[in-house]
Amino acid sequence: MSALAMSGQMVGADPQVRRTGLWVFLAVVTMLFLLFSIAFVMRMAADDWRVLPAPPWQLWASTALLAASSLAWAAAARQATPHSALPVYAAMLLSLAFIGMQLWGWQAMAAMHYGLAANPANSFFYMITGLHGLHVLGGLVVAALVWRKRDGVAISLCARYWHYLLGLWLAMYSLLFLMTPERFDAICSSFK
Amino acid sequence: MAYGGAHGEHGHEHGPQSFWTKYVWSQDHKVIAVQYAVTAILVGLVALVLSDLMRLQLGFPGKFEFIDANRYYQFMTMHGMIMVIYLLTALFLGGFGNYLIPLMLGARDMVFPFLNMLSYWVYLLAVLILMASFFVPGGPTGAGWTLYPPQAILPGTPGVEWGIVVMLISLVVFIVAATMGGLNYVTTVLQARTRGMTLMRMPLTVWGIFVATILALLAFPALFVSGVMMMLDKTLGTSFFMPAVVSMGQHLGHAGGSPLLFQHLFWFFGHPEVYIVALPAFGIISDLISVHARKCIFGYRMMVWAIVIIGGLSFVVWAHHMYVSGMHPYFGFFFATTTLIIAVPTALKVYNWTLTLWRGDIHLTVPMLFAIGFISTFLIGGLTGLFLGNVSVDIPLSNTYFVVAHFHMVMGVSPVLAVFGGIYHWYPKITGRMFHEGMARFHFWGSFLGAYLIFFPMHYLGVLGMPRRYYAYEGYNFIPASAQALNEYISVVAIIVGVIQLVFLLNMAWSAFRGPLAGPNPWRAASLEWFTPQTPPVHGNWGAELPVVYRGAYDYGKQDGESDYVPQNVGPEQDDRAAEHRRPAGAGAGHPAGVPK
Repeated sequence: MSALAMSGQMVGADPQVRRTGLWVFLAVVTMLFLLFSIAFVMRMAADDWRVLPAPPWQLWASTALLAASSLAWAAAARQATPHSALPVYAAMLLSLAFIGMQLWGWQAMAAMHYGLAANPANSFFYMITGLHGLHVLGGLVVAALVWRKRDGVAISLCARYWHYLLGLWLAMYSLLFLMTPERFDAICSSFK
Repeated sequence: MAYGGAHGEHGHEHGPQSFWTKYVWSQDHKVIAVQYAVTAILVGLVALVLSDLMRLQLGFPGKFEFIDANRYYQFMTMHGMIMVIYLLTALFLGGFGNYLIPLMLGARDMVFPFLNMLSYWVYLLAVLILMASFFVPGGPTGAGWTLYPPQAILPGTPGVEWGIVVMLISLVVFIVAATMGGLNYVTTVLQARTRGMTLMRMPLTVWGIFVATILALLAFPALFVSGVMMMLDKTLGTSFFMPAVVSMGQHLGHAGGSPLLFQHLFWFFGHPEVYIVALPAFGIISDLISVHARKCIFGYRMMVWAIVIIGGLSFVVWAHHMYVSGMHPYFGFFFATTTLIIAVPTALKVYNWTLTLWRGDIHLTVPMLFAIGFISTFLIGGLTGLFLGNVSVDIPLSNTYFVVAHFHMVMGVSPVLAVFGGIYHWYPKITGRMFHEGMARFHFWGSFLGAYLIFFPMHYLGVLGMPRRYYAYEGYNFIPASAQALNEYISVVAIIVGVIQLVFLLNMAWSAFRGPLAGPNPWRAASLEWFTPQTPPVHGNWGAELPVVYRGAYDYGKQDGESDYVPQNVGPEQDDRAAEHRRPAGAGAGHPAGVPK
């Protein structure tokens, strides 16, 4: 035990410690996007708000890609020892494809004349999708670093992170395209 | 990560060997703590000089030609931002948190040492970016530390060309650093406590830093959100915060944005920030008072719950910074109520400190002087908070020097006194040497009395109606001429107090090499950090075996021969042998607890 505890690095390798670290991190990310969401509904109250159009098909495709990536991570985590590289590589490629598809979605939105500064709803769309994408990219960098060590605990933590990213994307996707000022008022008045 | 493997193979007694891995690219929490503290204090010196430059203008308007109105606002902005975020937040969490959490909990290091190292270097990057704003065209931003839009990004505000962008980038980088550090502190407290160290046996310093870190992790995202959105407004022409504005005769491209939205986001960060700075100070003061009054802290559980409740409440009071921004009266009523409720747990803490002192064996050591000074300044600052927390009283006092006096007493002077008290208290553990007593006492009396001489008169200036944030006060009929005399006097004292801080730096630097050896536990303290096998503690902290904890950190006033306290790592069955272990010299020999498995 003392040999294990001898180095801080080894303490950090304790699965329970790393799991706790990830949960704390997810709490921070949740707070971040929760605050973006609150800013979104608060800004919605102004007259100049124009609701976003029906999402272009690219965004549905990217949703499917992220879901597939999340499934691939789940498959990678289910292996007792990560002997097969296939699910991990698949998950990473699907995530990269998700990023590409999101960029294509940006282009489609811009082509529909929903540019960044044209309306605050558009600004929120680009900002929130952009920051979500950065969280996917950051996850990919960390995943690539830990994959080199064939670290089983890290793979399961990656899976958890990707499930979270998928849930976060679904929440943000529905907020951006489904939440209208009328619906928000209806939700608020239902509490009266 | 590469260093980590080497640690594991060589074991604790070797650690990293070369100068670079030992002192620069170090993953040792103690080295990182000192790096954080030294960087924070150096950047704090910049902010101190800026405050004295402002005082030069206020005391002797027009005498110093290089301080024009633009420079004045730039000094003010940078002074506030540096002091609140880059000095106090970084020093309490990165400095004290890094040094004390593993040592007080009986851990060998933070749980993620590499991330910890990265946190410091990213913090340093944020500081360097911030300092760079002094050298960009147009200089740093002069928008005030609150950076309120629309003025922060409109022409006419100094630093609108580059300064505001550099400031926002630096803040975002700082938040990344603080998040990396914060993940470590929270996870270490939750997962790396040694055997027997239950949450309710943790020293209050760790409790304060722990809850403050949770606040930081949840509140800094609000600053991040508002920073990113303002950056987009500034650089890409979005209208999150920017309403339709006519600037210099031209319609700008913005429309419909809400400056109030920024204020809500900013203060949703800004108010917890006050407690990010205050809670670690509360914890440190609790420990200092208990050790130097040789008495168990009064109401330990109450103190812990007060910290937790204050932390929770700090998220529902933010709009008391916005009473004059225009809000529904019911909102004002709600936020005034929550604000006054916070006074309850806070007052409990002050009562418990005084009750700990009551009939204690008070030793007026330097750390104790700072602790008592803290209670005094915090009480004054807290009481004026009751004035400002009430909407009807706040409205006439808002934007006057009364507010300046209030927040400097409660979150400027008080946390800084806690910082000094903490540094003097743990200095013998960090360096192995004792500071120079005379210089330290001079530093205390100069700073403590000076703080009162500077900030107490500002209450009167505020009640007179002297507005804050003004560059010059000539030609306002409602300000009597005598106010200028008071301003002149405040400026003179402020400059003297600024110079006195050099004594502190001199003392720290000189004593680190020339001070007398302090021994492992000069204050006869009971908490775990004083029972490391070596002083200063080496890499890995604890030698071959981790300490085991049997009691809380405050077992003082139990006279047994020479000793009047029981260390945390002395078990109940060893009470007869305890005296031997409690001898300060015994602690250096090896494993003080000597617990059989």
